[in-house]
Amino acid sequence: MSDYTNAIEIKGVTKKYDGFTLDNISFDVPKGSIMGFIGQNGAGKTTTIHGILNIIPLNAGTVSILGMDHIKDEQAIKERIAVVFDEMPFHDLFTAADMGRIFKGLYPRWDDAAYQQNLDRFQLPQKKKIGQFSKGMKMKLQIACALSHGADLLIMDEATTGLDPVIRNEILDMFLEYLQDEGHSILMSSHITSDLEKIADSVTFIDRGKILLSGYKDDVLASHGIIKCTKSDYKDLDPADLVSTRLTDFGAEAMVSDRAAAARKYSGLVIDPAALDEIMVYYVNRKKKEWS
Amino acid sequence: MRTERMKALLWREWKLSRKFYLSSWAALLGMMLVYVLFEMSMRFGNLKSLDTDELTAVRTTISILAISFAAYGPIAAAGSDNGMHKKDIQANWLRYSYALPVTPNERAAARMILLVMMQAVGFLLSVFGLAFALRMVNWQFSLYAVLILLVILDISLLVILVQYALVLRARDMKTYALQNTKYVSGIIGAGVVVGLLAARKMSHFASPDGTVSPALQEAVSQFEKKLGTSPDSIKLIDLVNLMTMGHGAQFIETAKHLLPLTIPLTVVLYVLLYLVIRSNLKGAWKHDRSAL
Repeated sequence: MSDYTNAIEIKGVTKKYDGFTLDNISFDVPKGSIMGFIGQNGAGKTTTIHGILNIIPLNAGTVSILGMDHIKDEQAIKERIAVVFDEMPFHDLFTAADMGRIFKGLYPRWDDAAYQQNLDRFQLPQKKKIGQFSKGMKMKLQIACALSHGADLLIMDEATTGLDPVIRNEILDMFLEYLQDEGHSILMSSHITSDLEKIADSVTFIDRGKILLSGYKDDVLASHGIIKCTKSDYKDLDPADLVSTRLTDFGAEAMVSDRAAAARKYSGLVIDPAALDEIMVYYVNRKKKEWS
Repeated sequence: MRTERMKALLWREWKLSRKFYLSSWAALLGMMLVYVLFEMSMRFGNLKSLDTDELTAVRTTISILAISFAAYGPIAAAGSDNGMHKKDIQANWLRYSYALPVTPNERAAARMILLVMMQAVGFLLSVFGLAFALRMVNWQFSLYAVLILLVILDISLLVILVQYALVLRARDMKTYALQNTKYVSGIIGAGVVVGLLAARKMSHFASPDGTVSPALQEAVSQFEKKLGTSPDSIKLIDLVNLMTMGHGAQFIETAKHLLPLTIPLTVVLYVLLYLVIRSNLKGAWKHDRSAL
């Protein structure tokens, strides 16, 4: 069961709703790595995660988690994974101690000492009602619970959204520590690309239900670039080389997906490296070709 | 592990519903306290000076209150679960719970066990309340009184069955509100139909010329006679005679044959209830994407 190379393998997953289709998506999360799942709101990140977790039935495709089938071995999988959603799922009248008591019964590998350590680290009170927690404290509690039952895979859906940078950093550090164990993996969906740029090993970019990019973060960042030029220079660029172009008052900023080839072809032009959020924005606007 | 999971689920559900449930029973205990004070006052305090008629009136009032609470027992648990489902949706626990290592059967069983336990305790307290109420008016307690409570329990189970079939399928507040409206409208509609049927039955109390029917006149006169001469000797049969216009004995005879059927009916209703809970909690999110 532990003999797997990818913590998650998604092949041809399709889910149809009125007005939205998760369209034949495939990607892998390698074991021992953290994958950033990027996309704007409504792109299909949460739907994909719900499909992975069998919260929604899929129309087509297969999902393998920790080397097991996500439907046939659902129970075994869920004992070995932890999920953190963007919204706090614990009732306000419970305390952190109450949640520990509940999860101790639900997870066979629940570790009281680890939970206590996580609560102490995040400075979360045991006896205070969750209703009196701040948003940051609530998210920390969810993460403390997720990291206390020996999960081999963490799946997080917009877990850092709405948190201040200090708390986000604290949480990201914790994830990096979690990854020290080579058997641990993380799938982290977010539209805060700076977080992913900091910790992700690989990224998958989804837009309108389709996967546009999936690969190692460093490769994605290295292959993409932004040509900054005048409008007259821009006219000489081959549209086939460009993802999309942002037109400004001063000129044009065009994204290329093969920076090395573009550097050879347009040797007189400056090609800047692109950040993940820029890559996301240029891809989102790919159908418009030109935007401002 | 399964036992541990069930314990954890039960504890969680109990913690969420106990406030509503216990407060309702605290009211019954409060009433029992009133009775003790009444008895003490009658023996040693001001009520010692009450004449027989006044005492009978006070005893009857307390008895009616006790009967109301006794009737409440079997339905005490009815509202709590519907409220809990709403709380689970509001707290985002419902979605989160599908990411936990809990099978649909365990989820349904935990809910069912808690309901049965709450109803069993309610039922016992009701039997106690009913015995107390009958003692207040010097009526003998009989096994049929327990079966009458079982009838109330069955009606309550039927209502819960309709409620669960509609409300438990909701995965978001919008659907919950819609389903709850259907449920409330259905119950009100059923109440109106029962009321109209009762009114139609009541119309037999009057003669075609609008005067009170001779049978009712005779029953009322019999009852008044007994009330005037020896109110302490009024028994259940006298009340039933009054309500059935002199056919009390026949009515009780029929009821004696029908009441034992409530036992298998209760079992059947519990089985149906479990199936409804399981099928509704088993289903994944089938609704539109906005629910996610």
